[in-house]
Amino acid sequence: MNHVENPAGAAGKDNLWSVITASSVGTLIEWYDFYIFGSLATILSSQFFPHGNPTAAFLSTLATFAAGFIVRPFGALVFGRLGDMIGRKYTFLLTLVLMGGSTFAIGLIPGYDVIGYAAPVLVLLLRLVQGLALGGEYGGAATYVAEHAPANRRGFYTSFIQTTATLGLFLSLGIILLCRYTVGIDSFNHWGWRIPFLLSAVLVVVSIIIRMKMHESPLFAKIRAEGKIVKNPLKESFGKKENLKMVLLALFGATAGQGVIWYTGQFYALSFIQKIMNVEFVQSNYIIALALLIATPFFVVFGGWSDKIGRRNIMLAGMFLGIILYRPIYKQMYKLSDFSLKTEMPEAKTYKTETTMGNAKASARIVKTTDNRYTDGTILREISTQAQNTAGGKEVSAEIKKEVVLPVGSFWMLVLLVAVQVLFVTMVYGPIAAFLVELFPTNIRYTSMSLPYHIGNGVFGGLTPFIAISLTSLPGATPFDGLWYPIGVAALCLIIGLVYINKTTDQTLNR
Amino acid sequence: MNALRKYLGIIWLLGGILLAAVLTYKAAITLTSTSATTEDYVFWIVIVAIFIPIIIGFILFGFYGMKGEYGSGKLKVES
Repeated sequence: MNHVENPAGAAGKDNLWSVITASSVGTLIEWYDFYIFGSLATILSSQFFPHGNPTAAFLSTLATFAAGFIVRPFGALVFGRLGDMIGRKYTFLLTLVLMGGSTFAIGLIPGYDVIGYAAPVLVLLLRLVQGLALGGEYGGAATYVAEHAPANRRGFYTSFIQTTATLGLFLSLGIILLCRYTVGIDSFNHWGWRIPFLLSAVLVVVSIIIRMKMHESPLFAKIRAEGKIVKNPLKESFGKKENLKMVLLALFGATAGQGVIWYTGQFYALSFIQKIMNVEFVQSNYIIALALLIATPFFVVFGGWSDKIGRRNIMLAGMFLGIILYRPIYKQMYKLSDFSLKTEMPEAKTYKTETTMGNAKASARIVKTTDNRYTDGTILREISTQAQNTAGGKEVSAEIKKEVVLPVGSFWMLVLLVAVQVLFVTMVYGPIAAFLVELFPTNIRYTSMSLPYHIGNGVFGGLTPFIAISLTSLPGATPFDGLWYPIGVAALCLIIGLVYINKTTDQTLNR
Repeated sequence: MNALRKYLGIIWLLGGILLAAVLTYKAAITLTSTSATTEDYVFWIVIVAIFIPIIIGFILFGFYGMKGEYGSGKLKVES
């Protein structure tokens, strides 16, 4: 068994914080770039993928699925190989440039109305570049920090990288809400949505300047000086049984379960609040943002704790809590907007009608809003939008939307219930960077850890909303049946982790 | 514990084979149906292309488990 040669860490304490800051800021920006596309999916769809057009629908579906599921693991292979051959620093600098450049470019693409099919094709290509870059970024950042950190504090220091995925989501939600508020909803839907994309260029330039000043990882520099760099990291990682079996263990015993817990706590929760509970857009985003803010410090708490009691125990405890508590938590969430449990106040019902003239000749848009109030303060808002031809008084189209506005008490209860789920996320995600880097030797670390991480998160985690929604749409299904997917994957991962992973995992870093 | 790892390895191996068969069958049924849409094609082709290699990995994991590759003394991660 190898022991760590430099327990004090390869970097001094001051230098280590510079390393963490430079790595975390870049990774945070990459996550921000990746999330704004998802958060603005509805607007992007109307700009680039018009409804009723089969080719555009095909490209839209491809952009959704391919970026997350195919390209991310592929990016892990491409950039992992590069990182193990030319070094960590230049590789994750390259991923940052690719991510920032493609995000900025999406903000510049004219809509489908202006350039036709070129618009969705360009968006698809740039989204693929985003997925590729994200696939290469995380492994580099985690490896880079771990290779600078002292052995006994590796979980603590790498946990700062782990906060970036949540903070990136928080940043994207914050900037979107701020832009929406500043320019107004109509302007935001028309052109304001481009601001979060264009802003990425500024963030990326700042991050590149910081990262340019960094030095190569000391452990990588050491193996390069010793001539121990492997010529074919892919063959070494996946062609040799002793490494391949660790890649498989990392995937099925840790990252698959971590991925579903992560996506359930952060994304399925939002989807459930918006689509099943019908909570109003801004309120639902505030709920998620506040929950993320409350729980995020726990990434560092659990990362640091994993240095003392082992990575495995904390990660598996997070999975176990998700398995037993998801259904009670979601049932409690659902109750907050269940109108069969509330008493309506018909006398407090309010109506509002707004009529605006449309761009087309002799057309008008009539929006009727009805607020149904309940004794606990909940408002059920019914918004009926009709487009009419004023010449003949004929209705062209009609749309009815229902949304729920929660009272303060229910709002904070929902924040708490989501924060508990994010707490499970911090348990599984906080220690996992240290766990993964410690499984593999330096000369194949970037490649070997990136693939299971991106399959676990991109495939198992990324599929959570789709599979969960499919399960809830089955005949006779309840709104909570979608949870069987993350519960099932996490349960399998928990069993494998308990049986096959042994105690702490901190012996391999200097190999 | 080593015996349990081996027995579970057999379950993972057989479960993986079963899962691959069910997935392929489900994809074939959906895509040969007359009501299959473009979205169905993209979804199922991506799912099969991504999950079959993962399932092969799971079968391999089961095989290694069955052969005792994750037994005490054989893992680098053991302390």
